Amino acid sequence: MRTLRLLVADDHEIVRKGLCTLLGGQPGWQIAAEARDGREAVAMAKEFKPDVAVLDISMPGLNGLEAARQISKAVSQTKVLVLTMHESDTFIGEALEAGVRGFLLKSDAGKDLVGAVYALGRNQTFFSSEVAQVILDGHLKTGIQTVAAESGPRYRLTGRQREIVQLLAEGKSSKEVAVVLDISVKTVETHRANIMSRLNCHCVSDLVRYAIRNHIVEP
Amino acid sequence: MLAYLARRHHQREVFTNQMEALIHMAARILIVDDHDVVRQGTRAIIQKARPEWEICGEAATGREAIRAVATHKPDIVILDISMPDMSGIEAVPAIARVAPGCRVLLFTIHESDALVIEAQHVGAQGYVQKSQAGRDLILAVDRLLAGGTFFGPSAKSGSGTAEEKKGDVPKPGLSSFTALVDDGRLFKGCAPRTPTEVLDPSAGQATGNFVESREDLSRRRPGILFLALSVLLKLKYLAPVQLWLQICTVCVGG
Repeated sequence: MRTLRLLVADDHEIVRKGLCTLLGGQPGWQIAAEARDGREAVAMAKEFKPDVAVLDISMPGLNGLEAARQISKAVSQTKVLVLTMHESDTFIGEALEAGVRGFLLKSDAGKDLVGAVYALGRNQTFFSSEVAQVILDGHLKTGIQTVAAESGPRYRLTGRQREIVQLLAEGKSSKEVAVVLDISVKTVETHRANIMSRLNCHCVSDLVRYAIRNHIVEP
Repeated sequence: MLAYLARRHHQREVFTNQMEALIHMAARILIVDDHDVVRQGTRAIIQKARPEWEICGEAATGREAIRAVATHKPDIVILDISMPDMSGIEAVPAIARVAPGCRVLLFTIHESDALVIEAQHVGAQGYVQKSQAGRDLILAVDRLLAGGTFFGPSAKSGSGTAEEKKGDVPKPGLSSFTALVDDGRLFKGCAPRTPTEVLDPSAGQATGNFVESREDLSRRRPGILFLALSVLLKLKYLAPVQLWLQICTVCVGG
């Protein structure tokens, strides 16, 4: 049987070690790479082309959702499983659109992780029971499309702009953002101006509030 | 002068060896966290660094932790703060009642000075941030098992149990100061305490709270030389200094 190759990404070493212990012990599974943040996760996914990527949602620099989006686009064979601290319905729709095929609460990881990775390895989906309940509630109440439409503002930003929003909300200056993204300061400033006008923000704290409300950063 | 430094270095080595011998005995540890992955990760870190330590049990809530402590009687509990049913902070006093000798190390994602102070108030002996687990966890457990405390790398209060009281909570502004004083406490009767940690960049926040008056400075002038030497030792530039000192000693003696 072919080895199932995995990528694990979390900014906390202790959680990474726990994930590696839970997953590495399974026969036929191999931890191909470990990443400490979203950017590293994307780079490693491109390099190692794992079968399943297990990503924490909230990572500094580039959050799990954006990383999932980039990985799904760049490496088609990688299935993305996302670990989250809480089940919030507003971003589940966006996550599904980003190509995420598995959702697991960190508190359930112990009992469900192996099953989740197994499912994704076989090209199926996996949702924790709480997450499935949230999706079901949303579907029964208003329909999935309405839920997606209600999260309108997020869709007005491009992927690059969302990346910049996260970095700015984390307190980086335009210069630091330019270094991280490897673009010029002028480009960052242009993006920043566009973002501010699209979102009707007048200062950085408005931007931070937007980022928190839309789960781009954790409070 | 050199003889003094050599003596102090030797004393520090002897102390470290004694502590290590004490610590590397089998210790029984209880891990408490509502996230299974974190419990697994903690277990992995501990078993890799200290295979002689025994993980005697695990728990996922504050209430379970109290029951597990009563059952297993561990030497130390590594306790998460945010848990359903009962938080780690709430569980600390109950754990102390059920097992008075058991050390409690809070292990949390929260990076809050207020929480650290509250941890000290309820009687926990240590506080480590999960983001710093790699750097601090084993060190903190070592300290607590040796009878000391650990509230972050800038507050190195690792002295003997006789001097630590549950109610002895340092005021926030003085916590770094007492940490710097601490190393001197271990070597009673030795020369002035050298606040090496003040200049050591790895000590982090120690510099902010260390306040000296003019009088202190003038009294500590002899200590400045020891300070300079300690800094040079740390920077590994001792060789030329040694040579220079030897020359000075010879000249003065001659």
